[in-house]
This record gives sequence, C-alpha cells and structure tokens, in this order.
Amino acid sequence: MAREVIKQRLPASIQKLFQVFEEAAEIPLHRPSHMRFWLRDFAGQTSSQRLPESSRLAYQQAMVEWIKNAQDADIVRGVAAYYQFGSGRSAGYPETTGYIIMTCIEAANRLGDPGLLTRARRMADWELGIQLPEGAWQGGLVTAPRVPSVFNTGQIMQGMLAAYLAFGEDDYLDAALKAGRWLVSQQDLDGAWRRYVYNNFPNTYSSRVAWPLTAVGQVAGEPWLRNAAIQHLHWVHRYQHDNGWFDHCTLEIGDHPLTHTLGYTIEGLIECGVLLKDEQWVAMGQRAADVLLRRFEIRGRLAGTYDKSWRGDFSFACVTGCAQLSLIWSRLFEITGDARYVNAALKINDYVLGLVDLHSKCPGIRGGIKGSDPIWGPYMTYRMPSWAVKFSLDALFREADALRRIEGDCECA
Amino acid sequence: MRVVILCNYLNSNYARAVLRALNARGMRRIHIVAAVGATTPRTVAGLWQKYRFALPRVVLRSIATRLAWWMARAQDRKAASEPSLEAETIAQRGKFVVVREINGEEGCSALQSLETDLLVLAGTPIMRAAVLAVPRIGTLNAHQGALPKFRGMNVIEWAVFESSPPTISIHFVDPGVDTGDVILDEAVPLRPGDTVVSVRERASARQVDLLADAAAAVLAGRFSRRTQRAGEGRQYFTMHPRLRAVAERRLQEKVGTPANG
Repeated sequence: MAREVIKQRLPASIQKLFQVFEEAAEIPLHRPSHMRFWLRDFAGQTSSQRLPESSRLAYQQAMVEWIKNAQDADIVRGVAAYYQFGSGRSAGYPETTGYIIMTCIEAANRLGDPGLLTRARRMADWELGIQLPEGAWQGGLVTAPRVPSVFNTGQIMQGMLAAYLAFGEDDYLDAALKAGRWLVSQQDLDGAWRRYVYNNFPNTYSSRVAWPLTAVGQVAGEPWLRNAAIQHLHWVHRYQHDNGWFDHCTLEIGDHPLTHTLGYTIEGLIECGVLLKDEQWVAMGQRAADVLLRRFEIRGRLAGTYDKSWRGDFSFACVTGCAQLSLIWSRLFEITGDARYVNAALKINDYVLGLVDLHSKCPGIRGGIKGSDPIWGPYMTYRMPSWAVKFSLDALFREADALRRIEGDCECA
Repeated sequence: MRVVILCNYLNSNYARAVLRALNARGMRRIHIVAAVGATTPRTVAGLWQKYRFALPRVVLRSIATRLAWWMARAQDRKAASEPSLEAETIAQRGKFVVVREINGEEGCSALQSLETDLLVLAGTPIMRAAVLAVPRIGTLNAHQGALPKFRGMNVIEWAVFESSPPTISIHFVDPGVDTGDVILDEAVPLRPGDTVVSVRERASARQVDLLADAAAAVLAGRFSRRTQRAGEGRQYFTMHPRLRAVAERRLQEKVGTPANG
C-alpha cells in the first residue's frame, strides 16, 4: 500500500519505468537471449535510426527460417501465431497460416527453396482439413472453440487461392468458393459484416476481406463474389473522413486504430481498386497512405496508433503496421511510378530490419519481428507474431521489385 | 529599409555569406537574429529520456567532435583570424540579436523590436506563420529546386533522380513548404565529373548571390512575382542512400567523367 502511494507521487516518466520493470518481472527473462533482447529495448537502441547490419537477403533467409520453425512447432503443420517470451510458441493459427501460404510460395520462387513449396502445400492442406462445414474458418488459435470468423475466413481464402494458382488443384479453389459463399451469406444489405466479426462490431479493415472475394471471383468467374466485395467497399467509403482516416478501424471499441488495422484497410482498398480497375478505391487507400507517409517522413517513425486528426501515440510503434505500410508504399510506386513511395518504404524497412536479431540463439527470436517497439508496448506485448514476419518478408520482396524497376534491371509492370 | 537575416546558428557560415553579399550590393546596417542552435534537451532527465544508455556515447562523440573542430580551427590560421558573425554584423553597424528559439515568441519579439521590413532566411526550419507575419514587405528564401515541381528536402538529388535540371529558386515564404511566390530562378550548370555533392556546393555558392540580388530588387521595387498554384508540385523528403546512389549514377551518365568529358 505504502509502495503504491509513493509510486503515485513520482513523476509520470518514472512511474512508467516502474511499470515496465513490474511487467518484465512477470516474464521469465532468465534466458540470456530474452534478457539481451529486453535490455536492448530498454537501452533505447532500437528507437534510433540503426541501419541493418547485413544484406537484405540475410534478413529474408532468417525470416523464412523463423516461419519454418513456427510451422515445425505445430504438430499439425499450421504456423504458430507467435513466439511469446516465457511460454514459447503458440498453437497453429489458421488466419495467418492462410496468408502466409502466399508468402511461402513467393519466397520459394525468389529464394530458390523448393522445400517452401512443400511447406505451403502442407499449410494449405491443413486449412482444408479444418474448414468448417458451412465454408467458414474459425477465429483464434486452432485450439480455440470453433466459431466462424469473417475476417479470418477472408485471409484464408487468399491462401487457398494462392495454393490453387501454384499447385493447380481444384480442392483449394473449391474451398475458397465455399468460403466466399459463406461470406456473402453473412453480409448485410448495406455491405457490412456484423455477425461473426471480432469483438462483435463491424469494421472497415474488412476491406481486406473484399480483396480475396474480388480475386477469387475473378479467377473462378463468379461475378457475385465481386459484387459483394464492391458492396463492402461502398460501406467502407461511408466511414472514411475527409482527411483520409477511417472510423471502425480498431480491434477494440473506443481505441484508436493501430497502423496494423489501418494497413489492412488501405491494402484491401488498393488491391480491390487494382483488380476491379476502379481508381476510386485506389484513391481512397492512397489518401490515407499519403498522410502516413508524410507523418513518417517528418517524424522519422510511425506511431503505434493514430486518432481521427492523425495525432499519433509515439510511446510505441506497431512493427507489423510499419511493414504493412512499406508494402503499401511500394505497391503505390508500382501503380503511380512516384519514387517518393519507394524512398519511404526503404527507410521504414531499414527501421524494421534494425529490430531483427539475426544472431540470437533462441529460434523464436532469431529472424522474428516483435509486435511492438519497445517489446512491452501494448500491441502483442512480449510476442513475436508470425504475421509481422509475413508482412516484413512481403515488404522486402516488393522493395526488391521496386529497386529493380528503378535501376532498370527488369521490366516490372 | 531594415533588412534582417535569420539563422539557426550563432556563427552560421551561410548567414555570413548572405551578409557579405548584401553588403557588396551596397546594403548596410543589416541586422542578424541568430539562435543558439541547441536542439538537444537541456536537463539531465530530458537527455536520459532521449538517449537512455546511449547517453555516454553521445556525450563522448560530442566532445570528440568539438575537439576535432577546435583543432582544425587552430590549424587553419585564416579561419582563426576570421571575425565572428557577430563582429561582422556590428562592423557594418547592424545589430546581432541572440535568441533561444527563432520560431517562437522570442524570435517574433526580436524581429518586431528591429522593425523588420524584409526578412532573409539563411538556414532555418519551416517558419511559423506568426514569425512570417512580422516583416512589413515579406520574407525571402533560397531553395535548391525548381518550384513548384521540387519542394522540400534533398531536391538537388531528387531533380537529378528525375532527370530534371537542378535549379535554384528565390521565393517569398508563406506558411506552406516552399509554396510562396517565386521571384527568380536559375538552373545550376552541370560539368563533367560532377557528383551530387559538387552540384550542391555550386548551387549553395550561387544561391547566396541570387538571394542578395533578389533582396536588392525587392527593396528597389523592381521585381515580379510568379504565384504557385495550390496543388501544384510535389514535396520531397530526405533521400534514402539506395536512391541517392541511383541519382549519382544517373548524373554521371548525363555529364560523363572529366576524362571522357
């Protein structure tokens, strides 16, 4: 009690320091690799603009190894959701395993590692095996109660489509179509999804569900999927502010959106715009991406969350969101040819790679990307999520394409 | 007419060059408002908040930098014998005002007390509207990029990258970033063997003269303005080293090396 009273009289910065120590005391940091990682964050090394220590290829390979380890940790061959300080790897996570299939296939081709194709196929087969009878996939870890989830189903659809395009087996496309039918059946007339959504409120980041709906609709020649996607995009449009910010773009009601959820929303809009050849959706995504680019360039880093006036919470960075923004900026360079997007993507990739430990003896840390910077930040606290690695790898692949185009070594579209 | 130069360092070489160029055009009694140039936190708590365990390294690096600067200066007799910016300002009967922050109330008060007619920026951050409202005629700035096409940072690099001629623009300053009316502009000539650094050095030397010419023209009332339309042009930011290498290569392809001319 006396301790609490004394603490309350201390300045806010010291109180926060105490809180960090208290939280750290609850995490078993007895492993030297964990302690080293924690100390590095505490020392503030990561908040300075450190350049990555070796080539991009070394980072790509380390991240691929991280994904392999995360898959091997799950006996049924899904990819673990995260590595957590203290408890280790989680059980397999259907949602992110879904979109990691895409990354695995791309990495297999780029890095010349055919073993990754085998892994991608195993992931896809695992997803087929756990698809619910109605066509949906469950939310949460594979060990959680099997309750369907709109967003997660959309992300796994994307993986199924990638598997179909890579391996040519109809089972994957059939599973994606079945999922699409379920998604359309759950959609309200105004285009929103209100049932089977995270925390039971409709969200604008489901534009990243509209993207696989559009893509599967095009490949399968099913226009009703495309129409459902367009209907959802119109719903998202109602919730974009004039300054580019999105309402209902949070994981929890009342929070400010993370760059992670903003990234989902923006990416969904842009990719739908490209597939539908409709500039209005690209422009919607671009408007928000441009604001974030400007904020990043002026401040030198992205905040973890942004409020409706784009005021950021700089007490932490959502590293997944940083990687997603890099991916989006590189994509906008492909679309517009404006090199300022690549410039920002290169800088933010430097930042993300500066956080990666290539030499840790702990396979959960080596090549992994932490949820928050510092690691005790509010997003995925003391965890290295698999989707952070996925988006960082994707960002590096897009960066390489952009640089090849700029340097004139290839004729990228 | 009262002309004031605003700079962010007590002994700014850029401000000194502008002062000399204005004097060379017959303008005397130029005043200078300079900031102490310290943007680092002033308290130990602030320093700790910013640098954490990197603080000893930062302090040592700062000491080493100052030591190296002091030794170089001691060796360079010419530099050692050069009067300070303050002394040069006073020698031409101007006032030298030191403020902690040029972009705040203190900067505004200094400019008001000097009854500023024309303000000339010599290396400052983006100025706030309150400061820009003080000078009676306006504020002039030299920008190393063609306006409105190349606004913002590293625009010499960006111009080379985009295969456009590097250009210096002298413009009135408004609260936007490089969006004020343009008074004059001039392309920077390229020479065989040029690098981005050499082009920037040439531009930096030339922009001082252009800034002084523009100030003289404004004071004489013999100038024309080219208004930039809202929404025109692009704002650029610091260029990443990978793109700078591309810019460098494009420049070399364009101008060739000194040997092959």
